[in-house]
Amino acid sequence: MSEEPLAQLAMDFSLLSLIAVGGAITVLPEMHRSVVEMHGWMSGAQFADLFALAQAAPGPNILVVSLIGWKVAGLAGAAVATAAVCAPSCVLTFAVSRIWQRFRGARWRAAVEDGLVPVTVGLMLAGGYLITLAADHSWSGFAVTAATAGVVLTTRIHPLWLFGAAGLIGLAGWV
Amino acid sequence: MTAPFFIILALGALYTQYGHLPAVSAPFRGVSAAAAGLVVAMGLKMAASRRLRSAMALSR
Repeated sequence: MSEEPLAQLAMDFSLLSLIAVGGAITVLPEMHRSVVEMHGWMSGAQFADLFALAQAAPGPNILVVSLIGWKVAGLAGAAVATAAVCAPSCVLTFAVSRIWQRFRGARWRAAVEDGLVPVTVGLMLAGGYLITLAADHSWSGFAVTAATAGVVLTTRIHPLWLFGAAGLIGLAGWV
Repeated sequence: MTAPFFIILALGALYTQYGHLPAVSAPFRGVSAAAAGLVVAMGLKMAASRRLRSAMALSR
């Protein structure tokens, strides 16, 4: 446990921000490592709950950092965590997109983009694995996760309906 | 992004306040499991995407 959670939040999340190429999902593994494993700010289950909350709420999923900040250090924590995760990647995106435009036809640009795709996919799969282990503590939990993934992959149902159904299943005491 | 920020803070405050109550934590176990499924689905979708195959030059 750190003595200065605000400073830790600012430092860890601004680093996260720089690797948030693919949004909240790609930084999930690193976020989990920092918040649950390194600092012990919350349990894996609480982390999974906050992430679910951010997914269900309107707005970008990356706002999960506001929730984490809130849980760690109240309103100041939420403000610091949100600013830390937004500012560096905004500046980076702005700078890179200008350079990127200039080298539109360059072969190295296509190579860099091609190289980043498998990295993003790997991070997303790792994120799915980690958040599943954090969220599910029973076979029925894993079943809900698998069923949701199956429905999302095969239909166009809005995820909020699935969250609602899963909430009812939980309320019934089956998870 | 200001409105989503405050909405999520309100939800977070409710969660910290009432999260320990069974009436809240029970449905949350289901919703968290579903949210995890959503992430898994997105990962699998990306893994099966043409973008990945072309990036790895498997279909060129």
